[in-house]
Amino acid sequence: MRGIGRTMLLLLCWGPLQRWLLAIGLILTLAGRAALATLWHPDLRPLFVLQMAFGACLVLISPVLVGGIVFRSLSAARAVALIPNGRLKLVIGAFASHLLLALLVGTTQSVTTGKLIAPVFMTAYAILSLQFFGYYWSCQYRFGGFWLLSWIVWIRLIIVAFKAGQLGAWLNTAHGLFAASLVVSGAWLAFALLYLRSRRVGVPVLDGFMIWSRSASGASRSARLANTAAEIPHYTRRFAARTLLLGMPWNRSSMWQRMFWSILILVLVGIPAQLIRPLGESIGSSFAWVPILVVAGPLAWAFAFTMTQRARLLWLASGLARVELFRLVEAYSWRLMVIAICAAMLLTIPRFLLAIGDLSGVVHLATFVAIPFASGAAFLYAGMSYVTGRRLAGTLIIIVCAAIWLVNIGFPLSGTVAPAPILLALQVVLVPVLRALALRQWRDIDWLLNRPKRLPARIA
Amino acid sequence: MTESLLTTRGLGKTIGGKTILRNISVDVSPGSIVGIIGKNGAGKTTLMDVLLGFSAASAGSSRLFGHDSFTLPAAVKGRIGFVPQQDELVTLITGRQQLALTAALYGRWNHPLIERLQASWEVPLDQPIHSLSGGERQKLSTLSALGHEPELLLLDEPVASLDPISRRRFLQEMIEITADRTRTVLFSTHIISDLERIADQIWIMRGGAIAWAGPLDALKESVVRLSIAARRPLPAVLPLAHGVSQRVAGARASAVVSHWNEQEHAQLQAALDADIEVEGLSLEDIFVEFHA
Repeated sequence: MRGIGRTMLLLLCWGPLQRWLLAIGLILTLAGRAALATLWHPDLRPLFVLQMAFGACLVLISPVLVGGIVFRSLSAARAVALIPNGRLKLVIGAFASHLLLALLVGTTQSVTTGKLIAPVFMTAYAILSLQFFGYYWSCQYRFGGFWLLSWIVWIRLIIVAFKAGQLGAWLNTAHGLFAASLVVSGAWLAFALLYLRSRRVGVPVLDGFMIWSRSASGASRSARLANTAAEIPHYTRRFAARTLLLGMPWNRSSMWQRMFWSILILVLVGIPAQLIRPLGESIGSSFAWVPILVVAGPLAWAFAFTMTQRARLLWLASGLARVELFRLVEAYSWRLMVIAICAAMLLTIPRFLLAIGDLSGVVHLATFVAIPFASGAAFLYAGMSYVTGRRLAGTLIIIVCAAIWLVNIGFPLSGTVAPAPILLALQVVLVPVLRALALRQWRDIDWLLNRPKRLPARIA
Repeated sequence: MTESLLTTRGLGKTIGGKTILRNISVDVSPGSIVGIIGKNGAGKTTLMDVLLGFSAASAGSSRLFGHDSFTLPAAVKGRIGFVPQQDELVTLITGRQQLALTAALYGRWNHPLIERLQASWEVPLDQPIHSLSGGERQKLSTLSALGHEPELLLLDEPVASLDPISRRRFLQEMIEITADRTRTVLFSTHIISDLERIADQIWIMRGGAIAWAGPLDALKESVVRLSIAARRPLPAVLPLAHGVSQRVAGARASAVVSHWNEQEHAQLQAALDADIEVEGLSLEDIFVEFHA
């Protein structure tokens, strides 16, 4: 039981930030639930509903974005083989943690919208399980990060199933619910059997959520590409600093190679995404921006946060002072963020162009182009601000960014574009403030605490 | 008098309310080889991180080459080499590329030295780093720290993952590299025989403080075990000026003391009305007694 409980804890909150998000999210959800249940200030009901929904989102962010990676990391540890029923404990822990998360979603949705809890719970459980299985599987590969982008397809399929396939109505029946629970349980059983029978589990290759990362063969290939001679190669200072910061070689040839594979994957994912449309339904072009925003936020944070820790490697070798290192990390974080957002835009732009009439004019178009960058920039500086030793301040900044980010995502989903300019203005004002805060944190950043970490391997 | 290359005064470090380092005041002269020894969690790694400016001191000061550690200028950083306990290599590239990256950052690089050491330590340079063993990665880390010929080299448990042959070769190279007394080495280890082999100064760390700092020979001479046989029952706590540990049973007692000398011997003998036998200790015994 202890091993299962520990696995659940690690999957729900494996790092300090995740623990903070979980704690604050649960407090917000429970407080909102209590206020609604006791009819405390009934006129403020919409606010409490929003509070509950936001709290649930904070709880979900970490398990959804890193759950698969953490699970693979725990499973790959050699110590697992020595723990009696180690893998079994892990897989039961994963199953139970997703059950809890789905229950939270179901309860929140039921309280806030008055819908039946069971269908929402089952839908949430199916979606969370799909994300977990997919991420666990994909993160052993070099391009595993693209799994997140595949949600562009999944979301469309789910919408089609709900709107055109009457999945929602079907789930509201006893038969539908029973069949859905059989399918999801069957999927977990199949996953568990495959997982328990696999001879070895490889470590995740998504170092710090970097999309382009290593595989054994990939690393050898890049090594050969960069250096065929036996002597010590000559690099520029700039290239050396960049490689140490990113944790991978990043020169022109490797960049083109990555660009080729990225575009290929984008096309492979993007074409089906454009073809899948809810039958008889027209979704606004604003919806096309949701995946871009999804990419802009967490990825920008991850790039900046990872490089903030890796900057330790440059403290002595580069001779740069803390503020100079801040500027270097900032520059590369921006570069990666722009590449990621542009890649996501490439994926969704055809759909957007097809439905351009849905947007009311050039102003909205410009706003929609600018919002992902503003949102990404806010997250980027939040990532650079999140330095250990100042966790509370860093966490609060992330929660503010997450709140705005969720609203960013929420309004296109709800089909309205009206708040876009206000949101953009808010983020444009927020970005320089966050930059100033991040710079202040960096002036005395502690690299004893903020060093690149390896994922924990504790389950016993 | 030689100017101190590394100086700390009342250095302390507190993390999250927990004191990791307390009141550390030490000096390191150029050409010294300082061995730091202490139990796990004694604060060795934290001390190195604070000395190198990775982390700010919570109390006191730390200076390297006359500059505050936390704001080291580029010129001073170029005179320092560091091998961390957990390597900080780029796992996607080969060892050769890692060395080239480090060389590019420092600007100057002693290629013949690194080639010689690489051959001697048998470091595979053409394999991706993630495929290297722990010991090979540790050797590669050390090569990266030596190429720019630092005047001050800090090594955090550099031989922890090495096999006995590699360890011996490594220590031999260290002795040769520091033989001209122009380089200063500060290293932490759990392997006492290594300390005895190359260190000329020893710092014993206990609970975040330096329990003893000084030359190795002085440590061995001044830390002794006393076997006390008195003619009447001894007090429960012996009046020892620099007691490290003590066990009292009636009229007999055994104690380990530091800074022992003839004068203290005579004074204690008179105070306790006892015969005192003095026995020298091995470095391992001294370490154990300091942590008893």
